[in-house]
Amino acid sequence: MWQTLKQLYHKFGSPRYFYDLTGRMMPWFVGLTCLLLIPGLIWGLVFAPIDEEQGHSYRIIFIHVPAASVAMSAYVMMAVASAVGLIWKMKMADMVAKCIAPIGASFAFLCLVTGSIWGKPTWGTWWIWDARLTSMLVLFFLYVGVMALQNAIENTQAAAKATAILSIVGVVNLPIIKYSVEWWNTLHQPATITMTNASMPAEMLTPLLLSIFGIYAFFGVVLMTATRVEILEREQRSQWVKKLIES
Amino acid sequence: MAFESLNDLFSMCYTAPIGDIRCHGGYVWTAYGIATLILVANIVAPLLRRRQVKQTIRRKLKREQASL
Repeated sequence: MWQTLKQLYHKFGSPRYFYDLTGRMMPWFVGLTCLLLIPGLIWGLVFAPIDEEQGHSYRIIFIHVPAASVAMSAYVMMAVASAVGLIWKMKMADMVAKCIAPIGASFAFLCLVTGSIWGKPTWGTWWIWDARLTSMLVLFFLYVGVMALQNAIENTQAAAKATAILSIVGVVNLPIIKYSVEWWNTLHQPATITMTNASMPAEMLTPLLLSIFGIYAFFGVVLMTATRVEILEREQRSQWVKKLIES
Repeated sequence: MAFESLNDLFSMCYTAPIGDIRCHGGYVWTAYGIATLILVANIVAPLLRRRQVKQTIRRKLKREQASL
């Protein structure tokens, strides 16, 4: 057991192995994205039935919920990767964590903007300082903070260490986002999908699930592409990168 | 399809239960537009960086070989 873990650590800790593995996984993730995300979004935009209460404005959910979900999961992933990098000094984990930040920030931003656009026709306001909205804004600022800190420190290892600590501390915000709709009175509607039940008919739920899984596949594609570039840059002195570039 | 015509799809107007007509096309299409922009930017950004990084490495390699 311990031996296998150690082997895995060395395998995944090797930038070259990671580069080759993600190269082989990429087409599958691209395929999944095309198969799930694009049909999910078009289905939600054009074919899903109108909502009785909210009219057509609810169609924003097919972007808003997947963006929120991936923004939060990406943060967990960033914090875990940072922790692995911090504790076991795994360079590869630091690279992954660094590459997650801008992608996660873009999804947090998308979630906030689409939520704001949805809020106008539904609540009559673009923004209020309510628990769900504010905690999501904090998530966006955490991502921006991690990116700023990363850029502010020249030394790669020192930057990884500092951002790791910020990322890990920021995890405390995630349960606040998730449970904000239960703990406080908020304008935001409660969760549409929980583990045990979904408050939506199948014609709406199916495209929503397609978009959610699709955006995770998309996130995989973007993260792998970004990390592979990071590997090339950091490993440019190694023989295998030189060969790869020359060929 | 949830819409009767293309026009209907763009304007997304409907009669609310109280009887007034509401149009959500502007909101929904703006949201989808921004989503498309952000998704495309996420794809383009690492690809541009990849080109740049590869060019830099190639230049360095050439310089190294020239100095040998």
